Amino acid sequence: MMGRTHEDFDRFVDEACEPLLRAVYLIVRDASAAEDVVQETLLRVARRWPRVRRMRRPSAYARRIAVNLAIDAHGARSRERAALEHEGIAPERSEPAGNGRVEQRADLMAALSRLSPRARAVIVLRYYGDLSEAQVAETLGCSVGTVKATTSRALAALRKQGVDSYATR
Amino acid sequence: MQLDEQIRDALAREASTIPSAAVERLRRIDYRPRRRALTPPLIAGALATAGATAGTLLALGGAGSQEAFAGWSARPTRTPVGHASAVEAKCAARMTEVSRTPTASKNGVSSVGIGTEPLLADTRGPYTLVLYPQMLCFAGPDFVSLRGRMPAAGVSIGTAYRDGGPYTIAQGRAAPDASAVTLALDDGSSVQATVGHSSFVAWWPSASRPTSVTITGPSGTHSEPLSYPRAPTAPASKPGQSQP
Repeated sequence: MMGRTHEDFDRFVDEACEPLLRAVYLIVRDASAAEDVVQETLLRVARRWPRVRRMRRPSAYARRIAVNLAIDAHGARSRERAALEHEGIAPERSEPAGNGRVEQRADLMAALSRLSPRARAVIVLRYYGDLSEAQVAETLGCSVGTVKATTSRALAALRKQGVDSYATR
Repeated sequence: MQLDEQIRDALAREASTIPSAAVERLRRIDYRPRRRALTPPLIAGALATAGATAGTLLALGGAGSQEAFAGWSARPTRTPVGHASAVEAKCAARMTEVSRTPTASKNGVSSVGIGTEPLLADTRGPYTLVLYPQMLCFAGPDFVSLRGRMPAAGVSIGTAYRDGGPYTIAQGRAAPDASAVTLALDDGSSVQATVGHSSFVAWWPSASRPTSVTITGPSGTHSEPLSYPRAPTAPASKPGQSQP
């Protein structure tokens, strides 16, 4: 990786870090785990940069890696937590501050956390990333129909958990 | 507010809680593959400021690590934190250096780590891993690198590369009265962690995964199995290049 390629990659990292980190965080729900996922993503992009830089949207390539790593990482973390909670290696859980709006957001985030990692990724990509259904499908390597169905089921699950009742509070 | 809008609002607000310092840490990492032009002992010096850290999912990189981390031992030399002044000075200098990057003050990174007291220092041969409340600092004879503290839940691992060979850092929370923590690795070996301040840290010169953790406390010794995502295929080294 030399010269112009080198500069292109540095620029890419500079621009990609923040949106990747924030999106991954919403999926894994742990800031440090999100950092790990983004690091791994950028390492993989770096190894393929000469090819990636010629892609129409290198950021989409990085996003695909990051989101899929995030889905895997979340599953692993859940297993670790379950195994260790009773052994004195306690997870740290943050509690939201106590005002109404924050509580609503915390409730909604808690409801989102109860979705499967893949369903949550769909919601994050659609509603935080503002991606189209086709772009979400490309990111997750599935069909548009699957994205539509997953979105529909996820929203239904959120409604079932009373999330949309906030509208009337 | 419609559900769609609620979700957008909640996600945007939640995403904004990620500290800018975390973004800055990621930007400061050198992700680029390196050329393998020097002999291993020389690379250790040449990469002094590389600060390369990686995610949790890197693959085992081969024999280079043992050479790169000569002097490593599975049992730490317990170093009183207050006496590890040389290493701590290196770490503090590195934090200051990072804080002076052009975008550091804009992103609030200047407050991260600087002036905070280390919690633990894990020394193995000439290498010391220092745990700070918000950061990890890994220092050897010719390098010092920083990374964000890993997740506190369970046993977190992160694998990074130096000299083209991997090393893995493990970090976790332990009960305040835990006296010993040992990690069994999937290569059949085990590593004793440094324990204190309700935390433990350890590292080893490979990408091997812990398969169990054994914790000793006043009530006895308990073991728990651990599992991590399958490691991806090791990055293919092109002629003349090493892994990142």
